Amino acid sequence: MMFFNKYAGEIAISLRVLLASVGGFVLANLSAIAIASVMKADKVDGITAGMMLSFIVYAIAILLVFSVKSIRRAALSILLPCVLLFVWLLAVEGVLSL
Amino acid sequence: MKPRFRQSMNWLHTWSGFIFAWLLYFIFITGSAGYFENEIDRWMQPERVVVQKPMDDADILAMGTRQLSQSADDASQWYISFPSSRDPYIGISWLQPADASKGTVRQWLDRHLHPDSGDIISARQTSGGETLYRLHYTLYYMPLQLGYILTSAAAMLMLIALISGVIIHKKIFLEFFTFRTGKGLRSWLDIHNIFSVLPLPFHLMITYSGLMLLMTVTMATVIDVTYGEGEQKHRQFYTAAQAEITTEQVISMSAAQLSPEAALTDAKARYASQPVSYVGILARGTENQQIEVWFASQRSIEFASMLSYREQDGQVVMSLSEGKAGAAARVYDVLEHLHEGLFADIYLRWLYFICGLLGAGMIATGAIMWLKKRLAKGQHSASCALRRLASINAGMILGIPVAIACYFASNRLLPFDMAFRAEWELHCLFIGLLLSIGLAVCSAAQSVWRNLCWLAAVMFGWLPLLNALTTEHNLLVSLIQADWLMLGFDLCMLVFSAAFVLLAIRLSKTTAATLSGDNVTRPL
Amino acid sequence: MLILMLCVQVFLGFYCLSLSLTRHYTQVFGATRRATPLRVRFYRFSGYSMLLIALFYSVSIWGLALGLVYGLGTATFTAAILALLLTYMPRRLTFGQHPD
Repeated sequence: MMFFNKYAGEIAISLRVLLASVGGFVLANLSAIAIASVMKADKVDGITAGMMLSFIVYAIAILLVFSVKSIRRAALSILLPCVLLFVWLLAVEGVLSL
Repeated sequence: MKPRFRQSMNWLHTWSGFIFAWLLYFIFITGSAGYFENEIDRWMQPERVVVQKPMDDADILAMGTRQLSQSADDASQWYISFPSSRDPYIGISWLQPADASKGTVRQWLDRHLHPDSGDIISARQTSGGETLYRLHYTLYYMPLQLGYILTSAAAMLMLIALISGVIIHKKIFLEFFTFRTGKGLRSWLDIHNIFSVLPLPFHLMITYSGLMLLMTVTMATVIDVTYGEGEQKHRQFYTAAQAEITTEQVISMSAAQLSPEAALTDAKARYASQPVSYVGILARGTENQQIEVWFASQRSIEFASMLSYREQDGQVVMSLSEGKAGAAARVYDVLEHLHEGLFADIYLRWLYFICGLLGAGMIATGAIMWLKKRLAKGQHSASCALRRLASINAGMILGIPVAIACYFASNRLLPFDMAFRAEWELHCLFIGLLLSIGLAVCSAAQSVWRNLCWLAAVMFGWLPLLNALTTEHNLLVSLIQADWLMLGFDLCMLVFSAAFVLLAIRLSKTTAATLSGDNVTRPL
Repeated sequence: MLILMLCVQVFLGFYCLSLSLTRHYTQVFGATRRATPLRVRFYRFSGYSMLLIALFYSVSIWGLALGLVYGLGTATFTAAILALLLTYMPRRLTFGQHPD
């Protein structure tokens, strides 16, 4: 436990960086797929729109992770939408498969 | 706004800006140079012959097809380019088929023709402006995919730095025009703000569209999941996403009459006011032979518009493309055109270039402030590594312009028929960068910036001289021959050189002031 | 010529806006002078309206897409010039005005 106490600040920062870069990327991908599957009328165009908007999702996710107070809330605000989107895509849309 | 929120955004701004600062600086400088791709090409191939007197389009077409049928009869695609103000030459290009017996590989080749004789001009091999601008996303010494991903990561961090920068900048309107000189860090912050806030629309556009242009690489998973995996599927997706709306009509021309000449005449009759930029002959010698006539587009942010002619059931069908089919694809198109700026006339082109340089300045001043803050914290105990980092930073910031000057100089100095000449020009660029970093590390801390400024001034200043010594082009000849591209390039190099001289003199003054007791480092 | 017109419009717009800020007003007219609240409002109003006029002007000439590009590009360029002028030769910017 000594280690964790001594480097608490560094660990918290590293976790946030990890959460922002990896978690944000996953969320961006999932939301792009979600947008693509909502815009069924023109599939290819939907995918294009999804990919274009995914960068905005990514940027917002990163800003969010670094702006909320506790790291637990930061984790929740990334992971929860990820899980929800994943389940929705898996169950309702049937786009993803395990 | 809560102070804690601003503090965390400040942290984010500092680090997201700093991590890839050098890479972003490199991207901004080479990308800005890319806006003058054609002009750089002209300088790097001085053998090209400028079309001085107006020529008839039909004559140019005839000249091009004659030369193409001599040197590229087996090619399936031909293009003939017509002189324009940015490219005042006659050019031909063709898709060379792969042929094991001749040892040729499938690739596009292009040559320029002499306007009087119609012969191919033998010009030096060069990487030219195209490779220079491609550097800003391929990064050269690495696999293409890795270059794309690194560039995108840098662009993403840049986007974050921009947004968080706007959030933490308390007085964005109040300090819109503010630059206070001689106040140490405060002045650096002022100039950093000016470099970022004034061209903010440009910065946001260029960063976001840059991310978007590489999205099929970085967001490949999305295509995998929604469209299908594998290279073939991805290519299919790309074609489908680029689908255009075309209107087709049967025109009163008999199929037997259809020839490049007839197509050109017909197209010119339809768009009399617009200059023709290319004529293409596709799927040559097959049933589906197709002739394209491209017009330089004006008053819109598209680069060009195209009419295409082909034969169908004994009739000639003309089709006109009217933009991308999908709504998202149209937005993509607009952003792509905005990023590339191919539509820009000379005024807008310079604005693009200046905005790009302001972006580079923003990154440079940001990096300088990062170092200054940390160096100032422990005035005497600043670690050796930090000092080393500061000199490398100087070497990077001024070394990249020096490197580009080396690239231009190598074009004149390398032997004319050297093997891998084009590749060696690029090696020279990176050697130049390494040497400047070396110089920076070896210089004393007070004189790093001054030394590098003098180096850059010399490197840019002797380019026109080198041009005059090694080719028959010099400032006077270019002026007399009205060779504006050559003249403009040489003059620009002199202007850059003069700017570096001024900077160096200014820096010597401030260093003298610093040594005589005034301990605040002043920018400008 | 069209571009020059645009530059002048944008410059005037930014010039008025900068005068509406105390810091730049004193730079131009001297450290002891302060603009009356009425003048500040006048500068601000005329600055913003000049910029709006410039925007309409460029859109009417070059069309929506290209007009915006011209407008924003010119704004960046002229604002940078104005910032330099305010720093290095602010007294030149009086243009014979007498603020009293």
